[in-house]
Amino acid sequence: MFGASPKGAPKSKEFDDVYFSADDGLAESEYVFLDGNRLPRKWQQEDHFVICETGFGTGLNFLAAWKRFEETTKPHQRLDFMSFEKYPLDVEEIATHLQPWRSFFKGHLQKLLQLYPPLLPGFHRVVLSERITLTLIFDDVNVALPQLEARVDAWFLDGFKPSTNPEMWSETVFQNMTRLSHEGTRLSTFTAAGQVRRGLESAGFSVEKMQGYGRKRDMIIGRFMGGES
Amino acid sequence: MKIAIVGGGLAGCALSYALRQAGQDSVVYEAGSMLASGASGNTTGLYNPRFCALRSPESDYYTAAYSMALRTFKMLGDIDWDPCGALHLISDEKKEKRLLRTVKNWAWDDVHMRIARSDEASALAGIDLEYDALYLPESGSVSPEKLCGAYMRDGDFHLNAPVEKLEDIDADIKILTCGTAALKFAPDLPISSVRGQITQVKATQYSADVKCNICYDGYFMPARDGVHTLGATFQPWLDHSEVIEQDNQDNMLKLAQTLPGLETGLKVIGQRASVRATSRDHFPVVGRVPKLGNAYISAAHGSYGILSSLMAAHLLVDMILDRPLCLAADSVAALSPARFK
Repeated sequence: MFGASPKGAPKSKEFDDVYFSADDGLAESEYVFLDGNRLPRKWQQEDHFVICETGFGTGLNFLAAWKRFEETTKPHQRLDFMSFEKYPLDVEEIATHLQPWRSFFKGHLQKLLQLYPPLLPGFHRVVLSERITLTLIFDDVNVALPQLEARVDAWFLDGFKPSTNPEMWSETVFQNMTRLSHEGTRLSTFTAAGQVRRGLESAGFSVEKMQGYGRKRDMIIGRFMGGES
Repeated sequence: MKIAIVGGGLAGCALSYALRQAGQDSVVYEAGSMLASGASGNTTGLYNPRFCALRSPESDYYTAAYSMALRTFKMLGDIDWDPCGALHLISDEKKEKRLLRTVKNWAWDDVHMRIARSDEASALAGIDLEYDALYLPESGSVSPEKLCGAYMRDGDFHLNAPVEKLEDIDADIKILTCGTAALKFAPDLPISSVRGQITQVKATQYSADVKCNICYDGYFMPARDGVHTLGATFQPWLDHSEVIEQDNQDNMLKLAQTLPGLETGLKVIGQRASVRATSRDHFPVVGRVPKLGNAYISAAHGSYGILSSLMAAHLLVDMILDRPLCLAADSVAALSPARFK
């Protein structure tokens, strides 16, 4: 259901949208999702940190987080990474798309590919080390996010822009973000669309615009303020 | 945190393993003189999800468990893992209705589950089959006994260590993984015994061609070292592990009724009987036990213990270590001991 675009940037046939920029997807991922969520600083303050991502895609954001987590935390600190994907790539597609960063991720990429689950609907827990688990949820986020039991510290709102994938930015998603967040939970997303900003604000997040990656326009970061529900 | 696991079968050994994977030590207390002395002690066992017509919290559990098992078996050595595939024969109208709906509603990619027409099924099986079948290419068998051993490779356990009262063990968290013996501590849970006997037969020249597990009301496995295992009886009215001669004949009769000719010349050379545990609604009981302090349970895995014990172990680790849960909330609720009123 997916294929690489001619220029080399992985592209989704489903949404006609690119996963990440061809020139430097890794730097963009780190800028938007790690810097945007004040990472590594925030996870250095916790024994146990939980990230929830909408849109696993090629796994680039996860690999970037995993590697940086190990580089910046102590051996007793743990990371659980939960990620939703309605249209999962298969293991060969992921290997192809992440080819440019093969040497950068080395053993991490190898391990992910080795343990990547079969493409069956539902929850898949992947234990990567004593400190790191990945939980892949191959389902529509609107169906599966209400089924998640977790205390989320940071949201990686990836997936595609609201104009091409409006379902991902639904009221259900925003309500469940409220349910799963606590005061201080952070979020970031590459988009700054008004619909997304308003939705996040109504879900109890204080939201600000930030300069997007490279020549891109604004993106959004936010912090959960508690909120009534 | 001190964690005690009461029972050294698949459920307890898998839990010890999953805890260790999370960097957490535990101690298994086994009443018998060896690990895997009950239903988990068979030398070979099939692993399959439990089919139902719709996608449901229950089917999601078995799907997640199947995925988990494939990933885990790959990493564990010396468990006699044989992903030979399984054909679930569509031998009557009722099965046809149910299994066709399973394929449609579970929506597994056909790389992982599909209907094989009888000619294709025959080629997969290595013998002539007159039925279509639901085919699971990655299904197969492991040795439950060796699987317990692999789970416990670096784990701490005590044998000949029956637990009479939970207060007797010094631990912050106690988990009941002892099948129906859990009733000693939680008598209100609707868990009961189901006796099962498997039969071993010497392969004939014809039967030796069988290449994958064939499942019907019983099952027939490819020969390993010249021996097939077929099973299994299902006797909710019995709770002993003595061999019953008639059970071998019953297993053979089921084979002969579904695959006539295959039974010809097969000589019984062994058998093993044991007691599995099941629950009132035939779904496992996994989670925190109401009104029993810091106690959890993983039991009633029935005939699906290989898959179910492993998935249950990961769920309990999440609950105990207060991590995000590895299963959908609806599945967790369906497993909960609190579901029985």
